[in-house]
Amino acid sequence: MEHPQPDNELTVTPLRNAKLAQVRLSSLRIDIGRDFLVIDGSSRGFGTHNFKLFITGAAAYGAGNPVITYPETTFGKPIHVNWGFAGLKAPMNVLRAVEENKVLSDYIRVRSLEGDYFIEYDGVVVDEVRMGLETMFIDSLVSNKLLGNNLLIIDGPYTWQ
Amino acid sequence: MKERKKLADMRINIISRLSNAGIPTVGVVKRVEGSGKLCRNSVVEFVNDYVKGFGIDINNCNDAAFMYRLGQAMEIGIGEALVLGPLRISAVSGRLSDYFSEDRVFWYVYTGLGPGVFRIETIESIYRDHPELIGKLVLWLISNIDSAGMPYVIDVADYYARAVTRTLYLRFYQLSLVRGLKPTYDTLQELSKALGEESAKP
Repeated sequence: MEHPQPDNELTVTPLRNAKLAQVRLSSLRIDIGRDFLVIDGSSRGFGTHNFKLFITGAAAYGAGNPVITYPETTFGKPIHVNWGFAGLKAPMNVLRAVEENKVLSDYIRVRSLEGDYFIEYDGVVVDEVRMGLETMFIDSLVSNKLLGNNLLIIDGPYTWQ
Repeated sequence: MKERKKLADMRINIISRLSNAGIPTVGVVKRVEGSGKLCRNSVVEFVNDYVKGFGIDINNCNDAAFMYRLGQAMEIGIGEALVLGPLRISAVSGRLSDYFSEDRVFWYVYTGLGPGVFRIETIESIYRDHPELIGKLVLWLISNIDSAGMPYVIDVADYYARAVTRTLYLRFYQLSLVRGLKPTYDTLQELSKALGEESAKP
């Protein structure tokens, strides 16, 4: 069993309407009166003894849309997202070569948002690439008016923590 | 931490704009074993108003275990759910306060099915602006729990997102074989997982 240490810098308070309720699922008749768009991201790591490539992707469905995917797949409607879907941790000369390649650099991220090459980055590369991709994916869905006036449900933490 | 703050701010910025346009957002978190939001005296005291004598060692606890113990204590059966919330989480000071720039509001749900526990969350300002709609959405998600113990809309999104990276991963693996690359043990494990998922539809 995992035992995360309670973080003393955070406080948790029940709101005024908080309760602990036992609910019978069959008795719930909820009409939210609006459609929704659901979004999720995924990531996988591919490594050899001298590099690690993190492959991330995102999908959305609902709100009258077919499945929308980034990057493009055979089963989903494609959408352009201004964010590389892969992150590479490799020797510096490889990262520089990828960065200088106009095609690869559109898809493969080699630096953190603060500008550090991933080989010298002390954060979690896959978290940064995936979190950024999910956020920019949402931004593209909104810009392309695919959300409309519907509700947004994100699979996963709202932000980190 | 700086990158995390930047990314968190980017996301909060987009969803706050949506909220201002009348479109609230909620997140559903399936993996809660690594979270200790409930493992606090304030929550244990609150729960004690409903379940007399409920106790848990907050230093030897996680949110999934907390809700599971509570579910057992309240004898939650199949076809039922135990819902705890809304609770607010805030940063008081220190290293997290910069990053944790907005308070969050969350609910925990125990179903006794599948992994059994998930969290629904939103930003406090969004909840304040749309309390009724968010409250309904929370109940709607709970009313649509499938046999895996998760709202079915989440399982469907999860399936398609994994299908995106699976497709890419398998293509990259084939390419790596042609190039004579030698994947690590972890990579072979990931490959095996990806191949196993191909038949698992929601």
